[in-house]
Amino acid sequence: MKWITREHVKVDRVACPWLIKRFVDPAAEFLFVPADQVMAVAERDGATPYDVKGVELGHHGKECSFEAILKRYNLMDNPALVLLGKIVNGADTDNTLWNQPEGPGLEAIAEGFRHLGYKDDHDVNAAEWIVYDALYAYCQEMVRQGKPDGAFTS
Amino acid sequence: MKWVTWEVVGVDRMACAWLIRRFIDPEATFVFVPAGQTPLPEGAEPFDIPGVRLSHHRGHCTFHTMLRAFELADPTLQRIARMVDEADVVQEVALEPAAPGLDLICRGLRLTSPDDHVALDRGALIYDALYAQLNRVSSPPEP
Repeated sequence: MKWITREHVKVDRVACPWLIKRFVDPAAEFLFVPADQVMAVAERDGATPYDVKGVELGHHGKECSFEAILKRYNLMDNPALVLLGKIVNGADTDNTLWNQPEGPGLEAIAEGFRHLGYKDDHDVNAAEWIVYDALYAYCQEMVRQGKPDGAFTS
Repeated sequence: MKWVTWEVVGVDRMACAWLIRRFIDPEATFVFVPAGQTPLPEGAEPFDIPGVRLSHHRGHCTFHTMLRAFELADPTLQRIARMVDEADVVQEVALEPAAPGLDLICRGLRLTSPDDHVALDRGALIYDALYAQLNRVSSPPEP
């Protein structure tokens, strides 16, 4: 299945493809196009749009697209993914919804990946997924330790 | 040159190894020994092991110690030292909001890496990204 979003990815548009590939659609193919072409290409290619204004898999209120995908694909019963969603939200938004202390660090590192010379959004995603694998492992460890809101939130 | 530290690396040792490779010794190789093991292998410079020259000093992390020992005055490296301090050493004040996220990503990287060598390689990418971002925000905008 094809999935499409805006080019020049940062937080949500790296976290969402990671989530889709790992938990929703292992055969996912990703398209990154200029913002004003997303809906037209989505229709033409039969791709599912995400992290675009006005779509189901986008921001709703203060929730980010990663959280919309968790809800849409019944992943909310995985507490480690729910925690990861809060951290992604903290990095991708003004962090007033969950006040997740891990957010700013992820944001800085995600922004930095845009400046390491990767040739396109596919390469940024390929390189940066180790970050989300690491975050997910940390979230699983927190859940195992009975800290579903992470180590820094009491 | 050979460098030695305890196995199961975290935020400080990933930062130190990145610093060594990028700014001190591009040909560096790393050896890991179990925590507490003595004597340390001969001919290797130890770091982040209690009691050695390149370790925690005066409430600061080893990364901070290394900046002083190798006279690295780059202000971006000083920022990273403050983050690692806040992540790795108990600090009374938190000035670097990115510290908790940096810490947990490094911890997670060790969990997802098959060994310490891979963890250092992946950690280096995280510090490359952090360094790029901090340099960018501290430089004047391009004309």
